[in-house]
Amino acid sequence: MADFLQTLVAAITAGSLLALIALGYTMVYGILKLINFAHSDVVTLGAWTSLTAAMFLLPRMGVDLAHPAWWAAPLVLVIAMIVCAVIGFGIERLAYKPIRRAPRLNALITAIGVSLLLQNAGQLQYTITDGVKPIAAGVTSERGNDPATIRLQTSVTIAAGERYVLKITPKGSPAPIDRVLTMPAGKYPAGADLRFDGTIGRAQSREASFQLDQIFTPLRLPFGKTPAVAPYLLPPVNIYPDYPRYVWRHEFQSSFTAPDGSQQPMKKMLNIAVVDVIIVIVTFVLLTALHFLIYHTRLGMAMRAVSFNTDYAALMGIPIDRVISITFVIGAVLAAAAGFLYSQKFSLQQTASYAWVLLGLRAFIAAVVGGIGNVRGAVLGGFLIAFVDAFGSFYGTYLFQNANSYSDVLMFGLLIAVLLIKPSGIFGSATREKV
Amino acid sequence: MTAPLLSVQNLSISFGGLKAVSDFSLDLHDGDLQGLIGPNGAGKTTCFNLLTGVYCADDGEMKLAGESINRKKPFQITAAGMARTFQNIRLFQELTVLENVKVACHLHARQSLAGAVLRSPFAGREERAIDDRSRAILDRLGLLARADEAATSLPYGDQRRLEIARALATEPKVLLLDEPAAGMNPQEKIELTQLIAFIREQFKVAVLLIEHDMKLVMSICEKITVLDHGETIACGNADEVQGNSKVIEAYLGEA
Amino acid sequence: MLDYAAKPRTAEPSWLGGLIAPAIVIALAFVLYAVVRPITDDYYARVAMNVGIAIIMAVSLNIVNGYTGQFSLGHAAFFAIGGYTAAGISYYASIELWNSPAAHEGLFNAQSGLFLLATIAGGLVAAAAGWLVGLPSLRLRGDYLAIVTLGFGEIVRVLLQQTNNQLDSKAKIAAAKWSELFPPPLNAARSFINIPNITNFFWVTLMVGACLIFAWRLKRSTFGRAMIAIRENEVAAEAMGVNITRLKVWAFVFAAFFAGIAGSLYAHLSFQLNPGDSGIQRSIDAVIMVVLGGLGSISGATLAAILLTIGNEWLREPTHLWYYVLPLLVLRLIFWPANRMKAAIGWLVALGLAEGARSLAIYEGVAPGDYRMILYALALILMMILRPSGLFGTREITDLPAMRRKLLNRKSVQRGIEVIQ
Repeated sequence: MADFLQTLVAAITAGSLLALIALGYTMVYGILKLINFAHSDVVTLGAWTSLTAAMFLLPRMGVDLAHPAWWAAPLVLVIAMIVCAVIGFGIERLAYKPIRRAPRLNALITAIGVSLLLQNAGQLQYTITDGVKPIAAGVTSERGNDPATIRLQTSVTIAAGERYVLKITPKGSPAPIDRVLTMPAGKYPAGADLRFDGTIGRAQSREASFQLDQIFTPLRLPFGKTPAVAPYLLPPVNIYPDYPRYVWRHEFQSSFTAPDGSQQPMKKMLNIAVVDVIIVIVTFVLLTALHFLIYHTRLGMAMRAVSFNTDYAALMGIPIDRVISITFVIGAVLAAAAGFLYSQKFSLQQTASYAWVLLGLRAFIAAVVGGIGNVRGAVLGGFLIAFVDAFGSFYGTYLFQNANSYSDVLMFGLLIAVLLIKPSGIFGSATREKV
Repeated sequence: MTAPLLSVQNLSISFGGLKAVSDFSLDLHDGDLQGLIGPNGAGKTTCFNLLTGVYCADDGEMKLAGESINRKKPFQITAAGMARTFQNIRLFQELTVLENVKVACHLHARQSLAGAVLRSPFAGREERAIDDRSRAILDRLGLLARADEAATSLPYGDQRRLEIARALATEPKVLLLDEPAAGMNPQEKIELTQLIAFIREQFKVAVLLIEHDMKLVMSICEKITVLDHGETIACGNADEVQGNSKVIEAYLGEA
Repeated sequence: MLDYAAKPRTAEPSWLGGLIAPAIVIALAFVLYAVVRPITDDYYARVAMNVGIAIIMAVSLNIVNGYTGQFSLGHAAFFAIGGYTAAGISYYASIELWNSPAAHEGLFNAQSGLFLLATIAGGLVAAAAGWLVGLPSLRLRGDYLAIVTLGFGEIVRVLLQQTNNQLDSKAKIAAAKWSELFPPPLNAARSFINIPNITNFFWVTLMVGACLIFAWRLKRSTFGRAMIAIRENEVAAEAMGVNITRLKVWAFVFAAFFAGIAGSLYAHLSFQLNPGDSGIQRSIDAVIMVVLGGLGSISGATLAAILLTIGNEWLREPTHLWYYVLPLLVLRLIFWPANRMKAAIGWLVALGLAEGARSLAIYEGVAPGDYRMILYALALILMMILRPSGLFGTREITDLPAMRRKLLNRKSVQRGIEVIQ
């Protein structure tokens, strides 16, 4: 019972996040017939912008991150949404607009290019915390010496308290071996021998070239060092004072079969965290707003018209460019929300971590399963995928060990099955290519 | 009278409740030149798509040279001896004019892939035969001089002719032409009329023609089928069709 | 059959003509192995062999992405499947036969025979995988195919992580239970190590040659034309009697076969394989090479594979010439100003930018290799916007003289018109 309920909670929260992301894929596909590969990277960007805002803005506004004020989370969310909206707008204008009339393959490649660009730019932004500056070069002064000595080719000043890294490139090796050193401070002229502790491995028996680099921490990176774990911004709910992060906890009595065959009592906890509730509420609010926008406003009507047929819509006087831009912005805003909520539920480790790519792929699968181009289908697809994943991974372990490591296989299997049986998705309508 | 080369009985298809074509029947004999006309959206191209297997008919019977071609894939129908051109030109744009025709010769190539990659003498001979044949077809259609140009660089009328050349290279018994005169000037249309007569003579094919230009259709087709809203409203020679009140109504609207 | 008087042509084709290129490749392989390798530095030799592997990857992917116009994002999966299969065979067979996975001296010995068999087996298993994936998924439209193949790469990665631990001696193999042998002992999520280091200049040249000859002859054959027709217009190709599903699956199978061979070469070059080798990064690398080179162009894919692989090495050095080469190449290929004055200014600006970027990199102490993927991503986007056909388009190096003639012709005609006016 506890397991079932806990899995249900996990499925609902994951489904909400997937639905938010899948909407971005499906709306862009509906209008441009383009798989926006960069969408998952916008989600990542949302998470990291909110994190950066939380780490750098909030303390300067007098917010204690250990006990955040109630408005901290909404503020950070709005900042992330604005940044992502701007980026989403920029992506569409700079990369996708020029190739709107190009063959689909070109559009696909561009989308992959944009995705790679964001991924790698983001990676640089956040993971390079230390830089190196070459300060001297040298060669092996003797072969097979230990401890190793290098003969400097240029003069160098070693400052106290600084860290240095020696890059050793044995002849024939593709990449240098790095070794961090501490050395006595002082001025060393060219030709001097510089000793350092330890061996140089392969270089001992071979000639090698050396480069001495000074390690420094660059100041100019706008976001500086990033913490490994996101601060928890959601204010505590004091129902259970001991577990401020949980809305509801309940202990279930259960039992398990011990190796000797006897039944042993066991306690199981059911946790419903604040973040789970917030995820569901935020998703619900955003989806309702989106539904209203698409089906009850003039803008929504224009979006549906463009999605139906871009050329006809243009003839009807609908400003195509604006509608497409707005679609991207809406997708990016939803992605930012998903990224923020994700960062609150799970801790962040690295920008271009594989988890993000997989999250994006999963959301894409949700959009396809629901019928790509279909807004309601994306939401239902998101929940469907999340349920299959959560329950499949959990109850799969009863069937065979480490079943949960096969969850990606399950997801892609599902995608392939849907595409083969009903390529238009569960809720989509079939389209024919005009001949 | 011999059995018809292409015989179509009661062909029907509907797209989501809309009957695009219903009860379409047609007999095409050796050497026939028939026309298929009708106002915009009457279902003419849909008929072609049904015949060539692009769409799968809900109902009906199609026989080509006595062999059923129901539910066959487009390439199988082409192999059975029916080739087509497209209303919106669909050439292989990056390929040269000659290569466009050579692609259509692939159908009758007998070499194995291993032979092609290992350059077996048989594959080499066949490759030359394909080259010769393609050049010969281009020659007949007056395109040989532009054989090595990119297909896109051809003027519009030549692109239409290349589509016909390509279709002929599949060695069809029946040739379906989908609005070959669309976008042509009067001079080109006259040339096209001559060309159709010429290929029918030279390549021994039966031709089924979709065309908007009444004058062209009336002047060359022996038998004309008129479609409106997917239904056959008239069938007969030029005079019969022109006198038919339903046809006049369909084209001019209700008086 | 219509009767056309065939024009008399040159001599009848014979088997001999088809053997010239393979003979040249074999001779070249011997020369490179026996003459060039001994005077080459280990490091450069390794880079050269990596270039060869990249060429096989790019040219084989080109058969799918370039010829048939389908879009596969899972080429690395076949690379990994072939690599693991071949490495598994040669590693365990070497242990069984010679008690050690170490490579033997010399070019032709029993172990190289084993390596050749293992490599072909790797290619065949990869091809079988290609057939399994291709058959259902090639019925899908292009962008779905990209996702499905991407997913396939993921699936292969996960499955490779579920393999058993590596066994490192004959005794352990003999003592192993069935549950330790199935799934095969390929060291799970850790690297599969100590693969015999057999790959050398000879084998790389041979395989690159085989791949190039195959791709070239395929392209020039009736099958290749039909594949390109599918890319150009699928509906028309099918209406012209091309069995599109079969040719697409074939293209997929051939590409997978050569990717498997590349995987085997890589495994026997770098001693180790990792489940991550089937991941998206390697697939994307191959896609970038194909797209930058020009979809459908063998010369383009080859050139791009060479440039990018060597470029990767160059980019490790902030002081390198590469800083100049890249912007100039971009300028030359994309903008190509017609006016001489403008062109000169463009070259100067490009040189200035290059020098600026270089000094900045040196000053900041940034390894330009970190920006490698950013540069490639930008190149990909710019290429699609400004010159979607890539470096070569669909053309080959052999087409260049004709193009030049044509271009000159057009120029002289233009000049003539100007004179008249």
